[in-house]
Amino acid sequence: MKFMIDDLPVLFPYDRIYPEQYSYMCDLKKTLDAGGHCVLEMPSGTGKTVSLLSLIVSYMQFYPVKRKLIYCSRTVPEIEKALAELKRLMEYRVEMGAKDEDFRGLGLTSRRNLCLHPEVSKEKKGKIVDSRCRDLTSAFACEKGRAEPGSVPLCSYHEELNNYETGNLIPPGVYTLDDVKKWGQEKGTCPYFTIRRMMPFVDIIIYSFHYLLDPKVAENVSAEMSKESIVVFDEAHNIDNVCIESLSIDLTRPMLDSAARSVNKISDKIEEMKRTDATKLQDEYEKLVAGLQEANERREDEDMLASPVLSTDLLEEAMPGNIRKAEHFIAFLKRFIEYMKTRMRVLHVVAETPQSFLAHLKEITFIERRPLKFAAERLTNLVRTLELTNIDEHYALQKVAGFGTLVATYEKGFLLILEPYETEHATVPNPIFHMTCLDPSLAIAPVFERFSSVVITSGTISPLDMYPKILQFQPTLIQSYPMTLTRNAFFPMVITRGSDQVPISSRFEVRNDPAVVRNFGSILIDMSKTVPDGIVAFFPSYLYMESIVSAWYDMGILSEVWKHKLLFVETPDAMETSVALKNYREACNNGRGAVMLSVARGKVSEGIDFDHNYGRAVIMFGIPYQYTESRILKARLEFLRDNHRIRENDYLTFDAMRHAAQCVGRVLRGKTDWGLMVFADKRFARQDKRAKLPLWINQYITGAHSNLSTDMAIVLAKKFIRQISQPWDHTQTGISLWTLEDIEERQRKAEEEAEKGLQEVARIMPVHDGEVVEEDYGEMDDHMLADLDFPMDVDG
Amino acid sequence: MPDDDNYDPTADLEYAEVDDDDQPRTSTAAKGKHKASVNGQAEKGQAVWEGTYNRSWDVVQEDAEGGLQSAVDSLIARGRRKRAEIDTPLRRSIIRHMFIILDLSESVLDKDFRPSRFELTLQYMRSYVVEWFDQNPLGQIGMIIMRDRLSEVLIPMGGNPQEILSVLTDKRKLEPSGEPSLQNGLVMAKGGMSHLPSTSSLEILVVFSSISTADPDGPINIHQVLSDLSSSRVRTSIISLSGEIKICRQICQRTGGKFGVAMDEDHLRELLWETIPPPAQTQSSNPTTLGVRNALAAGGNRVDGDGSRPPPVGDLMVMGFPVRLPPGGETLCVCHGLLKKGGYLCPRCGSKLCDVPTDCEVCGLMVVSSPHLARSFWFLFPVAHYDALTVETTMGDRERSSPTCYGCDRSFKTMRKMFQGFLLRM
Repeated sequence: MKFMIDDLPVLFPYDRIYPEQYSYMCDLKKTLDAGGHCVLEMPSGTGKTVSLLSLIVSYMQFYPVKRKLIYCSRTVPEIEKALAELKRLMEYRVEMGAKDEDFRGLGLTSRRNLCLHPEVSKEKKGKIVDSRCRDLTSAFACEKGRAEPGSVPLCSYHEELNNYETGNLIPPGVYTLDDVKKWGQEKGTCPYFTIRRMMPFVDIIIYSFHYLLDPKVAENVSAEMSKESIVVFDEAHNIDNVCIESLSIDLTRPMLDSAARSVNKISDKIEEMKRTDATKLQDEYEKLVAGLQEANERREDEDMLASPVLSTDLLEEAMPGNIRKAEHFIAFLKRFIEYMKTRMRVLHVVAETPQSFLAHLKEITFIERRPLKFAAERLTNLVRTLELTNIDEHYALQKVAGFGTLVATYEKGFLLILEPYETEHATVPNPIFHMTCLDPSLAIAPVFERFSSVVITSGTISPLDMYPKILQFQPTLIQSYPMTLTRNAFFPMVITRGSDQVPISSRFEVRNDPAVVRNFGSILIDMSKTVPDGIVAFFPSYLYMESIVSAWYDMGILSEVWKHKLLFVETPDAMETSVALKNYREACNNGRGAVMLSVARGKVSEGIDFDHNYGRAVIMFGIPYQYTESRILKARLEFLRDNHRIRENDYLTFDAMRHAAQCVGRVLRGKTDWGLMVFADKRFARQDKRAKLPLWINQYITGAHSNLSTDMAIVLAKKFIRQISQPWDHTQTGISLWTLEDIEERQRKAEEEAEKGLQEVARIMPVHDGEVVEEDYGEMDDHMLADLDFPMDVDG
Repeated sequence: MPDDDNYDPTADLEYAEVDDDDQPRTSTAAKGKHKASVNGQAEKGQAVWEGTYNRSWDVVQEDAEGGLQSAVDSLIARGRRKRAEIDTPLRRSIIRHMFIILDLSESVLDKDFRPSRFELTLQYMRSYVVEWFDQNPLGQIGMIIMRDRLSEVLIPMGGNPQEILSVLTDKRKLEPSGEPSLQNGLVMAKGGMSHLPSTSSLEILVVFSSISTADPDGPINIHQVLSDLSSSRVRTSIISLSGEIKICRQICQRTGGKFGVAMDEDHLRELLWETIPPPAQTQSSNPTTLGVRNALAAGGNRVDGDGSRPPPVGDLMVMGFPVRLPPGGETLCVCHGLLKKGGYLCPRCGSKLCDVPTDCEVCGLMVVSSPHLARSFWFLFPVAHYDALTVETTMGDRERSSPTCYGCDRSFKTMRKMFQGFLLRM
């Protein structure tokens, strides 16, 4: 359908629209008009993606300024879904006679998912695919291969691309990942490089967060995006963790050993080259002397070893003298690695700032800060000069060099932590050197600076005001949308005590108390007796799940559950989990029913949907707090407290609740879906916890359901299940589904109200009327009026 | 409105009567009595605090929630009205064969339906069977129970309600245990109907109490059973006592049956009783109509049940009207092989049958008595619907004249009470 938001005609590919979609679009448009950033929360399953895309595409096509959309999502399936949605939208637009002939939309993912090369594509690991692809497609290989065919193996798919005109490697249109692969197969071109090279020419690019946030890849992939681009982070509830991960590096002893080996290999190679082709090394040296940083510009496609620091923090100066010569640099690296090895021998925990690390480093090895800054950069140059193949062998060395660069570049917001033992009780040292970023705003700051509009959105991103704080930006709009439903399709309840009235909690002191364990077990038993088909249960951690499941086994609780449903358990192993999931689905389909025991923050809680019969109930056993003894977390909390004035407890609760929301949100994937949400912990009853749940969940937790014992909860659950199973009028038109007329009516009403409000304001405060109108035209709500009424009362 | 039906049996009686609007054929008095007995038992069978705890909770929940309960209620009412409306123009099956599959797993011991799911199901079944034969005199019912992951035939397909009732009262044989296997139940029911002509209405009614089915691991899974059922046109209706189960809903949708979830005792009854009127006829996939001559030629093998269903209108089927024996000396019957007094003689082969309607054990002829046929005939020419009048007009009239029926002079007590309640609530 086609409707107007203010002066913008919007083409929406369905003939009905949810009210929340409409208001979402309105708010989105406001943000784009204002050219600011926004945080929006909309319940899962209400068509977030399609409303986003349809508004932005309409916006892009309506206004003459050429703007690009960069749509970041989390996983490959989500990218695929967004692309399919976009494709549908564009087809609809063509049907409606929109003129967007030159429109291109592409999605980018890793080589592993896109490769067509007969041998390389068989590799399972992403790193190996990447490295083998580079061997076949790197600039020097290509040069050599083209100069004397047959001397070096080349990828025919990659070569074929040269026969196409730049910027027209693929005709306009929207392609899903499969479409691009098919096209590549037909024409014999490489899908990955087609997309990569088309990036500057497409209107919409859909890819994962990392391509924009992780400096190691962002520099290569997303450098050419124009300033006017609209950036959308979908499923962004974990965006701060992505930011932090992209700037953190962990080193272990084996990695250092492997790095040392690769240094030796490289030095051998240098020796060899010196004998055969000394000019090349000399050339490189000359170039570095001249400060030719842009030596790499010539070779655009080589993203083998990008710098791990953000582009804005890259040095614009010349390479320092003491590492210009290859052999000097090698010696430098060797020294650095040896130093790191010595540090690792310490058997107690060390936490220090980058400055103190550098000072110590200088004292022992005389390595200065400046050359260390260039470590990653210099290594890249060297590898290129030596024309090394099989880059993945040198993976550890890259990490070490990256580590050096990071330490030397950043002073604030980072912490070095050495943990000699893996767990608290381990006696065999297995040291890990963490270089952790504490400040998520570092990685995302360039994005906010560079792009005029950044939209952060997710189904569960409450409390909304936390994100601007920890990411350090000024949003123009923060909004959470409730879910309009004709029936209460989901039923959240908080169980605070067992049938024996013992309070239940996953608090550390009581979590292994037999009474609590037994009460958790009895919740599972009773739910498995009551709820048909699938149940998903989430535990705060693997450790706790293991202990509680073994305790349940001893108590005979599992065999009781077994009578009603099959049991599946998520493990850290992805393969095992996917088999478990497959069987779980089957059990849900053939009526046997199943329980999936999984872990909040695990794979299942993040990426897997349990729609309809796959998840009729979700049980949160305890609050999924992070492991608070972790030193990294402690450092991070301290940082947040000192720099952003966020109390430790606030952040921990926020983090726990967003994961809880994420978990329970798994069961509701649309308006025809239904499910129970059980929060089993007495702490959920507290207002400070509940307030942090998304609005659309929170609005359905009534006082009566927020402090239940197990037996009461079961009675309620039974009742709910029976009621929700009644035949139901699927036409929700008018209430939670709007037709075009409904929208127009709504708009007319809003206008009238606005006018009324305007008059009111004019009557009350003739002086201020101009300002108020400008700010809040069309959004004059009761709040405002109440505020305005107040001075009147005082006067009267 | 009475808020607590446990303590107000009269209100319940009333409700039962109002309920009857839908099923004009049911005998009001009998049902009223029966309802009262349910209540009596419920009161005796449970401790007082138990009841109050449960019920008061329900009431509180409704009040706080507001929307859901009333919405569902209104939906049910609307559904009832809708059903009443589409009744007329359908062509209905006269000859029905139905297997009732009862879930006798441990879950039926749950007491959320008073006195327990088990007791209630059996109770309803007893009156259901009577009612069913009352309205479908030419039909036959068999019963299968599911427990311990097995299914067993409780009563083979037959047309005698007395037999079924006597089995249903014997609770020792019906001890619930283990888990049910829906697949086994369906396979057995289908096997029990495989000899029947596809032209008569084949039905399965499952009263399913548990939330899962424990099916055997083997070459056949429940999805294959489902496609078997739908290809052989066995209409499967499932009434669940606990909630929507995907596979059950799927089975009902694919085979053209109804899936219902009972919310409480009355709703369960309503759902059960909905299945009593014969279903609308489905078009048979292969209109192989055996004419009467063919049927005769077939020698009265059990293939003779063809007839009114496939498109050629007015096709015939073979039936025999038996001779009733005087209740004199005892003779051997063919159906049980026992010496019995009285009975009927098959008009074709002359063997003695205990009861009609039935299929003759010897020659396979369908033996019916003419009142049965006449009663089934009712569904071919149903009574036209009453016009609905608004409360105002009728009540206005009543207020002025007498609040009684002009036909039988009975006072419209219920109507009046309802109206008063309505006023009070306003």
